[in-house]
Amino acid sequence: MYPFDSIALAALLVGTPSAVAVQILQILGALLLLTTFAVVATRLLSGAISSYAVQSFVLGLVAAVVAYFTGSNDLYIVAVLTIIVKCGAIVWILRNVTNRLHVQREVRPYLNIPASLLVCVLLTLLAFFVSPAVVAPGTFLNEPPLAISIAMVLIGLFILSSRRHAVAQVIGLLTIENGLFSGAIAIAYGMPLIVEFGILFDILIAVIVMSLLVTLIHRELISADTVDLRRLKG
Amino acid sequence: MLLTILLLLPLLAGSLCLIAPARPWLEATTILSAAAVLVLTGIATQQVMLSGHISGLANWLYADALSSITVLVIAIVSFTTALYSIGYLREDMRAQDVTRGEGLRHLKRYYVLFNLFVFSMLVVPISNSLGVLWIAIEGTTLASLFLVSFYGTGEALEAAWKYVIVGSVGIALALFGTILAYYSAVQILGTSYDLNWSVLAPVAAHLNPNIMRLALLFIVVGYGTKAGLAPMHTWLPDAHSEAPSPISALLSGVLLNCAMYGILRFYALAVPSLGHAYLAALLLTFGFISLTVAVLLIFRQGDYKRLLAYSSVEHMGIIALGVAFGGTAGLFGALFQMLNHAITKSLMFFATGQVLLKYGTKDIRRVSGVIKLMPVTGTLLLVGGLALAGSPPFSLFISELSIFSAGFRQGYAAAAIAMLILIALIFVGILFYLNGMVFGKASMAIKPGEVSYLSVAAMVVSALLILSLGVYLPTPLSTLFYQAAVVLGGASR
Repeated sequence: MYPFDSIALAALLVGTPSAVAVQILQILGALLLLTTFAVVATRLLSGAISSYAVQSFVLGLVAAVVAYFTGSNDLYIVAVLTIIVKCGAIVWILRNVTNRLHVQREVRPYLNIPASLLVCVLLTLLAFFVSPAVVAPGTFLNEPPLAISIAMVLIGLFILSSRRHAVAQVIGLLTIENGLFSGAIAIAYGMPLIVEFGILFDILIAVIVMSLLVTLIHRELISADTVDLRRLKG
Repeated sequence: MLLTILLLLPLLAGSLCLIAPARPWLEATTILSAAAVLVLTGIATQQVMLSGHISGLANWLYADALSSITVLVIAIVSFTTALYSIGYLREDMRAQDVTRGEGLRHLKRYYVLFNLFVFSMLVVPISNSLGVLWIAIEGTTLASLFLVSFYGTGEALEAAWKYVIVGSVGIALALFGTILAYYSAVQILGTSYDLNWSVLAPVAAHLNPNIMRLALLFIVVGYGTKAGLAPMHTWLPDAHSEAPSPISALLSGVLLNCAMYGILRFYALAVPSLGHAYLAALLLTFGFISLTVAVLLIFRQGDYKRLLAYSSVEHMGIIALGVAFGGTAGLFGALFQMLNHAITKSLMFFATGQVLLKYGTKDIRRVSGVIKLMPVTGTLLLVGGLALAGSPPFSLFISELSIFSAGFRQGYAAAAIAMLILIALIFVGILFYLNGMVFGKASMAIKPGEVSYLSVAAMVVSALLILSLGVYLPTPLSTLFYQAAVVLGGASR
């Protein structure tokens, strides 16, 4: 009975996606990608944090738009919470911790900015190349949104490995998380509400805990440069 | 109801520790809570064996045989660790004034986080929702982070930073795997279901195999990061060596098993739709990389806590191989190995913790003659080391033998022989180092005598457990393992 059920259900869920919905989501998806590039394009931590804030806001909008077109009340709640927790609390904490540090910019990234952007373009191409393999064709939001999510995850991983400043690494981690969050919306219209709550709560606690740790590292080593964290080997 | 109380206990103990006025309160609350958790686990396990599974808290909590084994591991080791912590911290913080001010706050932080850490680990096996499982595993990182950086030195902070970053990336990948698994079930169940195991398990055979294949790849890499499977293990030796010894015992003995439980749960979900072959290939790959990395790094270790950390990588690899070989013997071996690893490895971290307090160094070459200075600890270190390396009559020998024989029975003879060779190499390595530490000339500058008798009691309990499990496996326990093998879908093969 299951295959039949799933077809009926898919038809019910998908309905006939209006061209408007797809267009709005494509614009928002492009914005998401743009803000992700903006995180990479700056050396100033304050700039990267702002880009992250805009990115999270766009993500909230994506959730709201999908909520509108699928009629899912849960997603509205998720959208509002995302904006409050990410644009509000997390950005505030990150700004706070950055202000307390001596060095508020990425002094010498492992890869300079133009080269980093080039890598990000390549990663984005890769994401568009692999995403059709993930999603069965015929899903409402289809390939472009998922490709953007995968691109965000890859770029987040790249930020994590190419930046030395501890706060920049946290932003890399948050970018990965935003990518996964948008991926969940793109392919499955978000996770169950309670899981979304839990994930947001976890992220918030993680940022608080990591900020504390950055402060401790800063106090101990008088820097938040992870190059100074090189004593443990083998 | 039972499961709810089981979860509430450490949470309550943590809150009580927050307001406790002095050290005895902290110690009493923690040990009582750990003991109560152990008793409740016994009762819950019995119920699971009678009725197959139990649930609670409006179906948010769910425990079957597989969960029970993991809960049992957590309960046993967190009890011995709580006991050990008391003695260890009394000695470790002797120089500080712990009756008030900074010293008391430091001590309090330890016990509060200890209980929170135990709580977050207990949520992992008994949450019904695979989403909550993910949240709990992320929670374990956050709860244990400041336990890893407890000493506040540059090295400890570095280890903590590596731990949280590598762990979070791994866990993010596991989230992607979870989303994919959710997506594959949305096609059958609709978007309104809660990602609960009890709902997913009956339809597991109908999940989209293409999506599940990708999901499991991300799950194994993601949770494998936290389980310490190589090459994602990089955080593990640092965190294990820099954390206070009782925390190393918890991280290595229990946390790794919790992450492994995550992999096993998804394995059970994926087997009906994917079949065993793909999953076996995945686990064989990571299992062998782990064993190889462990062999290479154990032979060039100068730090005995890092040595034990790499031995954990080895054991996690063996568990992965056990599941990959499959069949009743393989799954039994893997599950039994989880329990044995937890007790043996915590015993070793306990014993080396005593050595660290006595000698004040983690350098293997600067430690010798432990058995002369501390006869009981020295003997237990030797016993634990032999058990760890996999020699009879200890329980790790039984589980490794079972996995080895499963390799032959299920047609992985070459892999089983390769595993045996790697284990033999590690055996030699561990005993070589251990020989130097336990025997040899004792330094005259160090005063002989045991460090703490409470800690010794914790070690004796662990040693008796691995010895008795190695000689005789009680029927209820073997029934539990068999039932868990059925959950994993491999009992018939």
